[in-house]
This record gives sequence, structure tokens and C-alpha cells, in this order.
Amino acid sequence: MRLKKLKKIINDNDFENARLIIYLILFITFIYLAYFNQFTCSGCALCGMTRAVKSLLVLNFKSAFEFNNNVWIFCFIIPFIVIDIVIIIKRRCLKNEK
Amino acid sequence: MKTKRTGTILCLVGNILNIIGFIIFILYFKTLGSGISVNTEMIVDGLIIVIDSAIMIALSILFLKGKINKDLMKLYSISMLLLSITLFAVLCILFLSSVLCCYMIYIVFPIISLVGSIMILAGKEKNEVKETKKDN
Repeated sequence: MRLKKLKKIINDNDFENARLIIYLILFITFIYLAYFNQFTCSGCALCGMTRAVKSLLVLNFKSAFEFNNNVWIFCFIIPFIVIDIVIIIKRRCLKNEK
Repeated sequence: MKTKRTGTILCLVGNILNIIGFIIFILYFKTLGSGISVNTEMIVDGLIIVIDSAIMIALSILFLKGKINKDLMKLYSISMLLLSITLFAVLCILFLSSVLCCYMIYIVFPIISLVGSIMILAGKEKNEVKETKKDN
């Protein structure tokens, strides 16, 4: 029953729209962070992760893991987001064809 | 009504992520210890962020469960917008004034909730949609 409810929520049209908007905002922010922003601070403890994510977005894996070892979390999150976007768009295309 | 629902989901997700981010932030600082000084300004700002987010989460859950009357819909949308603007302003101040780079990632969540609250305010109610259809 709970699985069915969860599936219903995930397949909900409004929730899909919300997810797409969130991914769009994340994409724009990460583009800004990766290519148009420069670090001005001397480097605090949390800088490691931010700098690691930035390196990951520029596809510089070596320096990403040098800054912070926990950056592998983002290595899993980014493909998951891409797969979710593909599934939503595919479903929309199939709906339009029908 | 559908846009309002999408906006409410956006607000809900944005604020839940905001609170989770804040908890991780606090835990990270506590485990790191004396390296970074947490001043009173940061604590007050953090409290404002958490209270703001909690109110917005409660309001959006009430809306999704259909417990907000149609008469109170305008009040609901305006209060959501004001709360998200406050949240965004506080984080913008932290982002611009603080040395901590983590606010660069942290500022995404208020942007999500701000977009959601604008969608709530812009979304039409069922009656309005029917009236516009009749006019056409």
C-alpha cells in the first residue's frame, strides 16, 4: 500500500513539474558556481566540499577528491538527476504521442 | 490551482532541503571544533532561517491536505511570498558578508522556495479559470 502511494506521488504531474523546475534551478546555479564564480576567501573548513564540487563540475576528478573525499556523494547524485530528467521527458513524449 | 500545487511542492522541497542543509552545517561546525568562530549573528540568522522554513513547511502541508479555505488563499499566498523573501534576504546577506563559501551552495534552496511562492501567487484558482473560460 505504501509503495503504491509513493509511486502515485512520484508519478504525480505537479510533482514532476516541481522536480523539473528544481533541476533547472540547480543547473543554472551550478553553471554559475563552476564557471563564473571565484573563491575570494583564504579557505575555511567547509571550503573543501564547495571547491570539490566545483572541480567535479569542471570534470577535474583528481583535484575534486583531493579537496574532499566525500565528493563521491555528488558522483552518485548527478547521474541520478540525469536519469530522472530522461524518465520524465520520455513519459511526456509518450503522452503526447498517445 | 495546479500551478499553486506545483509552487507549494517547490516550497516544501526547498524548505526541507534548507533545514537539512542547516542541520548538516551545524553538525559540521560542531565536529570541527574550535577552527571556526560561530558568532551571535550567525546563530540569530540560523534561527530565523529554521523558524521561517518550519512555518513554510507547515503552511504547505496544510495546503496540500486541503485544509486552507478559499477565503484564506490570498493570505496564504502573500504570507508564503513574504516568508520566502525574508529567507532569501537573510541568506543573501550571509552570502555577501560571510567568508564561508558554503553559502554558495546553500543559497539554492531559498531560490527554489522563492520561485515556488511566486508560482503560488501567480496561480489561478478554479473559480477564476471557469470565469475566464465563460468570458471567452
